[in-house]
Parts: sequence; C-alpha cells; structure tokens
Amino acid sequence: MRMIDRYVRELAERLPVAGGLRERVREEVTGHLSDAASDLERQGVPPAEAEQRAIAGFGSPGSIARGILEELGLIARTMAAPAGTRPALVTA
Amino acid sequence: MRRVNSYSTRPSRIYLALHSMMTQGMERRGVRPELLKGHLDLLLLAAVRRQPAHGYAIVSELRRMSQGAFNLPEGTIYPALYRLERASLLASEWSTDSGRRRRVYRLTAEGERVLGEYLDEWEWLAGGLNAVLEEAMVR
Repeated sequence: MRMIDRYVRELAERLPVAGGLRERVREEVTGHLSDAASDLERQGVPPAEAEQRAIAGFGSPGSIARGILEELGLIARTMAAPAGTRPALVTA
Repeated sequence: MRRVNSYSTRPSRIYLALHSMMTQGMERRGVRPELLKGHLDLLLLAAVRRQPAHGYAIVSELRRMSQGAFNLPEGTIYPALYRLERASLLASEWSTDSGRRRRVYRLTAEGERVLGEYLDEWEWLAGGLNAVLEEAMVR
C-alpha cells in the first residue's frame, strides 16, 4: 500500500461517513498528495521520498481531521480562536 | 461602521491590499501561526477570485502570489475551504483532468461581496496601524 493511501485512510477514519464527508475528503486529499508527490518527482526526488515529503507538508491526520470537524461545527473547538477567525459565517 | 460598496468596479484594490499584506510577511520566519490564520479566509477567497482552482493549486498559487512568504501547511486549507463552501462563499465541483478527479473551487457572488468586506476591514486596520507607527517611529 502506498504511503499516501495509508495516510488518507488514517485521516478518513476520523471523519463521519454521513453526508459523504469521508469519501469526499478521501478522494480530494489523495489527489492533492498525489499531485504534490508528482511535482516533487518531476524535480528529481525519488518516488518514496516524494510521497513522504508530500505527506509531511500536509500536516498530521489527527490535526487535519480535527480542523475539519471543528470548522464544520461537528465538534467543539479545542481552544479559543484568535480574534477575527470566529466562523460567524457558518450557515450549517 | 463599515462602508458598503461594489468591488466589481474597483478590482485593483484587492491586489493592492493583498500586495501590501503579503510583502509585509515576506522572508519572515517564526511568525506566529495565528497571524496568518486570522487572514486565511481572505487569502482563500482571493486565491480563486480570478481563476477557479483545486486545493493543491490554491496552495501553490498563494505561495506564488505571496512571493514565497505564505507557505501554508497544505492540509490546513481544507477545513477552511469546507467551511467557506458551507457558508456559500465558495462553490465546488469535481473536474477530471489527466485521469485524476479534483475538487475545483470558485468564488460565488456572495464570496465576492464578503471578500470586499474583508478588504475594507484590512484597509482600515492597515491604514490605522501605519499611521500610528509612522508617527511613533520617527527618528
């Protein structure tokens, strides 16, 4: 299994299936990481290292999943957001 | 409190404001992350204003537009993109290009309006800060 697939599975497991969120994130993030790895390979980085660097530049599955759940109002924020970042626009 | 106006008539102001915002961040390392996070919505809306783009392209575009200053942890844009889409400021759809499906985001009319409000806010903040600092830092 590719490192990217393993990463995306770890991320997706933390998201709800309901509403298609998990599937959407899985496909979107796989595409993102694959694009990033392809770009690095074009610059001469070996495939395995390219995948690793793409993943490292993305952030940990836990923090990204938490960010998505927080921003969509599915879990409470872990800390007060800095002034100006409160999602007053969420229509949920 | 805030001026209401139409940005379609004055698009160049957006680039001027973004330029000043971004050049101030250039070459800075160790900047507090919340400094940029507070402006992430504005950056994301601005990044797709002229051209719809998928997430990876948005990150690349912001890096290019900011002349390398804004090198975001790439995954952090998605929570914000999803929220902006839910708020109808962005809209997205799948697009297939060279065999890979990508979710492409575009600015909605409401997004354009809110981007204008952000710009007003930014100009007010930057103008006030600059005025204070210019006088305080003389000599």
